[in-house]
Amino acid sequence: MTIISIKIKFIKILYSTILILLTLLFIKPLAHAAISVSFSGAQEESAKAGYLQLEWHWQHQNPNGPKTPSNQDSEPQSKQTLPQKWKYQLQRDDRSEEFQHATTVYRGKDAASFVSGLSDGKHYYRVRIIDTKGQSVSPWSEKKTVVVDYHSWTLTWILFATGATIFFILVAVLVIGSRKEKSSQSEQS
Amino acid sequence: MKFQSAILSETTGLIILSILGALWVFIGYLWGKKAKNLDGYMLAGRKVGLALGSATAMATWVTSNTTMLAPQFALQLGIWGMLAYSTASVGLFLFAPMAKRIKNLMPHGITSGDFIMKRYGKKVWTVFLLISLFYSVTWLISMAMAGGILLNTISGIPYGVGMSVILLVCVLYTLFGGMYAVIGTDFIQSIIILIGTVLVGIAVLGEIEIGQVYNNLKEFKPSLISVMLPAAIIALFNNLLFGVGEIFHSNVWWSRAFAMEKGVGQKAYTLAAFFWFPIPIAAGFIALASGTLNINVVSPDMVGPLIASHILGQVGAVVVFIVIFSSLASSIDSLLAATSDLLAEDIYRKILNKQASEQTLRKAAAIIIAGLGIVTWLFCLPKIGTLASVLFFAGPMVGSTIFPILLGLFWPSASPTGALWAMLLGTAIGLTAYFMIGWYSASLVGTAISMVVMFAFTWFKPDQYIWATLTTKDFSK
Repeated sequence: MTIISIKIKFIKILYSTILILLTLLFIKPLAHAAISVSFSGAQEESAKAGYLQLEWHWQHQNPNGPKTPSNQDSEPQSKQTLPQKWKYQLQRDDRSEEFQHATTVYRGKDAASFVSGLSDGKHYYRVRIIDTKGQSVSPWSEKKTVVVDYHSWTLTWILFATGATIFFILVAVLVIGSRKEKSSQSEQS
Repeated sequence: MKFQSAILSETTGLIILSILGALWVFIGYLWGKKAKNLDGYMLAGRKVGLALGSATAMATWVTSNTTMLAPQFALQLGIWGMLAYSTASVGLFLFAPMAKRIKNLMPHGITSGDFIMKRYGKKVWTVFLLISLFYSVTWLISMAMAGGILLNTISGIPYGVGMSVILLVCVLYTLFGGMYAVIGTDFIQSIIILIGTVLVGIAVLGEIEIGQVYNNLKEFKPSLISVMLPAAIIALFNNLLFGVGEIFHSNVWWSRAFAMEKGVGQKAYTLAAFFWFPIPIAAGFIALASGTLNINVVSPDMVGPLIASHILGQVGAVVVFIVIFSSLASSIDSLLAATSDLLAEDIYRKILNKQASEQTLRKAAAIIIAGLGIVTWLFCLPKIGTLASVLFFAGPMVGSTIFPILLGLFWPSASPTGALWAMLLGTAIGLTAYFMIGWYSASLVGTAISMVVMFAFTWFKPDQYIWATLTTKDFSK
């Protein structure tokens, strides 16, 4: 093996290494920039009874990239499917909008989740796409704030008491009416 | 995907659909042979016994809503929500003594409209008929639509096919056999529903521990196990009154009261309420277990079928399919029969053809069943998913009829003017509450207003009604 051929081999290896490094440096951030997830509806929504359906969709922002259902106008959002190896990760934080105490509440392919049983106050949600190893494919979405503002206790107890009173009267009318009917029937017989 | 994928293959779904469909039509045809005259066709000869009576009341009340909405209530409003839905059985309990009274007062009555016309006159009857028809038709359409959607979600059967088959099967056997067919199929369907629900319930309890469910809810959905959830507290009596309103006014329940043998109605409705009561609690508990089983719920009304198939696999999916098909059929057939009776007796005989003979009226009822089926099918074709929510509008409407009917049955002093204003004001203010507070308050507010108006008129402008008027055989005017 001549020195020239060794040099050529070295240059080839060096060239390949540089290429790989460049790929690692640029391709991944590019992938991040290309795929994004966003929630449907307003950024802040209120839920008087502590439940809400969260919906989201993903988009490919590179116009030259492969077509995804979300940038085909004719395709309804409900039919969006993620590639096999990807899934969504939905996180919730009940204390900080910076997601310092975030908990993952869902991992999977559904583009919606019905959240309920939320306590009074603000709840923050964010979603992203991850691969099978749990590595992020897209950055986190913009946060969605769910404001749970329960009905006032005065209104609640007024309506509860009204309901209880109606029920009591209803039963009383029925019981008294039935007894009267029974006694009138026995009188007749 | 936004919605969960099918849990049963389309071929399996179509095979079950065909077998069950053929079975119902065959049974309907066989039972229908008993219907020799108008009373036989519309009211099963007024000779329905205790077993068939309780089964038909129970099966009719287990609708697609019980399997879809009861789990939804639990997921939205927690323990209170679960209880709130099961309070719909209170309507059956309270109707039991009324069934006895109705049968005693009106031994020859055919529809709830007959009672309103004789008791309160034409004005109240018109408002009542509008409310009742709105409720019946919306319920019918929403149920046929729910049938198509459910069968599609469970087995992938195209929406149009599932909806059309379920509607066609029900129309066919109701048309052939009238009330005989409805009650006969209801009996078998109620057994299927009970066995299916018990099977799924046992399987869920075998798979998870109640402690796990509690811990999961405490961590992720704390309000669902809290007794202090305002919307749920409001919903408790609201749902109870919605159920009471539905049962008190609807001809579905009145026609059964007329159809049962004397002395059977009260016992049959009480038994039906006992059998029905645990079903929504079981369905609700299954929904609360979704978090423990790591099941993401996209659409809360699909949680029951999802969990059943998750735990029992393909067997569970088949059981759920059969239970849902049975619960849909048992309600759609009852609605078709009761609404066609209402239209034949209250519109055709009272307005269009006062001299109609029994035979003409029977023909009219059959044509109306077929017509109702076609109209429902046309409404269902576009698959307006939101139409089911229109049924909730009916909450304050039916709530406003509770006191006019109750006082009208027991108090001779209940006046027609009071009944008219009770229904109008109850509906209007109840609907306002629907938009101002929420769906979970509308029936309650509607009933409250109607009750106050009814009592006020009874107190200040009492009537002196003579009960003997109701014993007539002629309800044509």
